[in-house]
Amino acid sequence: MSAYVLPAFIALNFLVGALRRVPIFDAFLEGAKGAIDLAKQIFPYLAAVLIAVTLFRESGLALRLASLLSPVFRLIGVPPELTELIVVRPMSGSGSLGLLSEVYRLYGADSYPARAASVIVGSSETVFYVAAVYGGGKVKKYRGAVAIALVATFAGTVISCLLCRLL
Amino acid sequence: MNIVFCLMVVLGLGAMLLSDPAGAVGAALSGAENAVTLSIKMIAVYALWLGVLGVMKRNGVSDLMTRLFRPLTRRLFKKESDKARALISQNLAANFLGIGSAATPLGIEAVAEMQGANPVAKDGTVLFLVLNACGVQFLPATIIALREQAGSASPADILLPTVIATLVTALIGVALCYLTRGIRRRQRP
Repeated sequence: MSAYVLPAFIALNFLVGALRRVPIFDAFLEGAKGAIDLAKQIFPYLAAVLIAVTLFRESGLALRLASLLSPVFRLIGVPPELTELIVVRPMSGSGSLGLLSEVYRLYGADSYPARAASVIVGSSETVFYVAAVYGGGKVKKYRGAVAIALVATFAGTVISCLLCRLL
Repeated sequence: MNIVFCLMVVLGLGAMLLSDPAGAVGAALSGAENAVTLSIKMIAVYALWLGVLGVMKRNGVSDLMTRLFRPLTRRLFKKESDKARALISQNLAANFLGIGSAATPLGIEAVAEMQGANPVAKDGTVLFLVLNACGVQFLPATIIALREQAGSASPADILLPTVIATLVTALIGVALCYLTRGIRRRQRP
């Protein structure tokens, strides 16, 4: 489905522009010239977040935190197999996709943990990445935005597990 | 962010000093290297999508998206300028369409527009950051593809629960923003 959405979206935009006699090449350049500056602006935030996240995972702390949390998770109906995924999800997008594939491999793509994991990853975002990149340089004090997003994401995780039991 | 960053680095390095001191700096560097690779990839992604966004600004599609989301943004972002609300609408539209890479530059611009030179997040910025950090992307295309590859019999059966969970998470995020306004007022910009 979304394989069609993106190319169709771009083509449609060009077409509408052409019909309305927009100088498309110039308009495209006008936008695209900001690409390198944007990446440059984001880079230090990205580096800081990825350094912290890599250290947290490589040191085994993420795993330890996960095993510490898994009895609590079991209590609220979250499969303990998914604790590491849930801990990593707000920190790393590629990391959580890796762990998701691991869950598919270990339990089968149609098992309950696999479905719950899919919904958890699909309904959430890489919180720290979004906060760092969107805030990029402009926001120094987040006034609880990160904490609220983490709490909401966790509530969403519990709800995802429940939904996968019901639906 | 300050505390989280400091805690993760200090605890991470501390744990590695005990288990694998030789690999500690290497791990930090590999994180930074990831940032370099990702940034270079992002230049390509931004070049494409900022280009398309440039076309959308001129062909009327941006205005259309702004108008479509006006009922929502007018309520949630009452105090923001029209320009900020337009950027927020386009960011949400890009998210809904599943074009995360176009949503990012729009989101950065929206935050810059709302904040001006103010370093402390305003109420509107907090709400906007929460919405984006909770994930308002409704089509889990990557995950359905991954499941298909893993041999699932019906890879798309997670679509309905994912949409519901996404919606509920966003609602909880918005509710929390409003509920904690009183507590957060002390730090008001």
